[in-house]
Amino acid sequence: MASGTQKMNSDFTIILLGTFAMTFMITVMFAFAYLYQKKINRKRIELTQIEELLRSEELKSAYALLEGQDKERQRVANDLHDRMGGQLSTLKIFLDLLEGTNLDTKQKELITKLQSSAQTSIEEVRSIAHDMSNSTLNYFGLQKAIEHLCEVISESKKINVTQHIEINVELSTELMRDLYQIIQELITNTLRHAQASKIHLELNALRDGINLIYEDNGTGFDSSAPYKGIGVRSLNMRTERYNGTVIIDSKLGKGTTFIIEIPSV
Amino acid sequence: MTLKEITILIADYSDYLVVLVAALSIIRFRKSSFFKVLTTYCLSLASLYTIATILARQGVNNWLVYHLIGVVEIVFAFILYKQLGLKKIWTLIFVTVLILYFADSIYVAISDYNELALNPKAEVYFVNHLGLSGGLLFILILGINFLWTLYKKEEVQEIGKYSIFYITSGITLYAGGAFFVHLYSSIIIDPEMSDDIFFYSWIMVAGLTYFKFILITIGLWYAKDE
Repeated sequence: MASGTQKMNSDFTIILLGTFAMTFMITVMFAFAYLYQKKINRKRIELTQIEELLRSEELKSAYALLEGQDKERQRVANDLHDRMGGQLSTLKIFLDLLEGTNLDTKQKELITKLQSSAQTSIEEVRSIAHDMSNSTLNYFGLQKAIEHLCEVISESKKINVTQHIEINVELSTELMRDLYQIIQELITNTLRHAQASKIHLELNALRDGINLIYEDNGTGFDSSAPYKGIGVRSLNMRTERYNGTVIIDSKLGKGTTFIIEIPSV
Repeated sequence: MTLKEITILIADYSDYLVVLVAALSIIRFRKSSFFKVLTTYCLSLASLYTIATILARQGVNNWLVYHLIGVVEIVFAFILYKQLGLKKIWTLIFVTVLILYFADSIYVAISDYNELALNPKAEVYFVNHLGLSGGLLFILILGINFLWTLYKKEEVQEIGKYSIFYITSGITLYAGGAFFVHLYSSIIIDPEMSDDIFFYSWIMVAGLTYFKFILITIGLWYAKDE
């Protein structure tokens, strides 16, 4: 009887241990798969966050680079205008003073030539300084300036800027500057707020008018909301100068499109 | 048909499952060394199980074939994991395990034949349970080592679609469960023990075999996308 009970207990122990071993192995496999995937998913989220952070930092750098370039040009332009222009003006004053003194004909001729040369230099320096303050725009024209701007932004490698520009009419310097600044303002807004990866702009300046379409694939905003930022207001002001219109099409999470139309110029 | 009879029928077919998996491994053949080894492993097992079944039906003792199956399990598990990257120390452990396995096989064969010579009616099973348990423990540790490496390296993005995870899980799961059964096999086959415990152990090994081959099948299925 006792031997029978002992045998049953032994049977039971082996069955129990066997079942436990099998269940344990299966559980371990499932637990491993679950824990592994959880770990990988957590790492993936962390990586995405780091990438986003890096991306925003790189965009900040691109923006800073753009701002830096403009500031540097402005500084050189101011230096040229104030220092070089100042020195040349002083030189001309001295030459004017020298003109009143007792000089022979040859010397007077030479002074007149020097005065003329100084005057030309003053005007040249002023002109260069003025051109430099308007950066690439005045050197190469609107198309090249916009292309250069797009290249600088694209160099960040985190935002791709594509453009299509067709200019078939001669534009005034003011209009070129305003259009350039509108585009600059739009890009700046995208870089600052939209978290976009793509920008596409199309500019057509034809006889019957100017048409600018600017699109980004960023976070967008509610364009029907009454409040508009300073950027949008400045955009409206610049466009209204030429009796133009601004149409904004944006929805949260759906990117933003700006359509700017300026009638015949 | 009673539930027990259905269970026996299902368990009976567990050994044949390897033939299907071997066929599938040929159909889904992949050129990577891991899958070449896997196909060879499945084909070797399928051949040996077929021979064992034929011998059993002819009333010939097939213990030698089962000892060979043990060797195939250990050798191929090692080669499979070697394809996934193993340190040199594992080769030394593998050789040791294999030597112990052969030593136990020879010892069991000699002692059981001696017993038969003394008593032709003696119940001998030629089970090399120590060598086999050692081999299965080796496979189990190889599996755990692989999973640990996988966990540390974090190279696989979706474990649920990783073919090698399923294949190695099948092999590890089988080794883990069967290790226990073979460790206690001397008790299980003891004539003093009830038939139920033998039946339970046999069902458990059959269940593990199903698990192993189903997981290898899933692995082969996912391999096509890799």
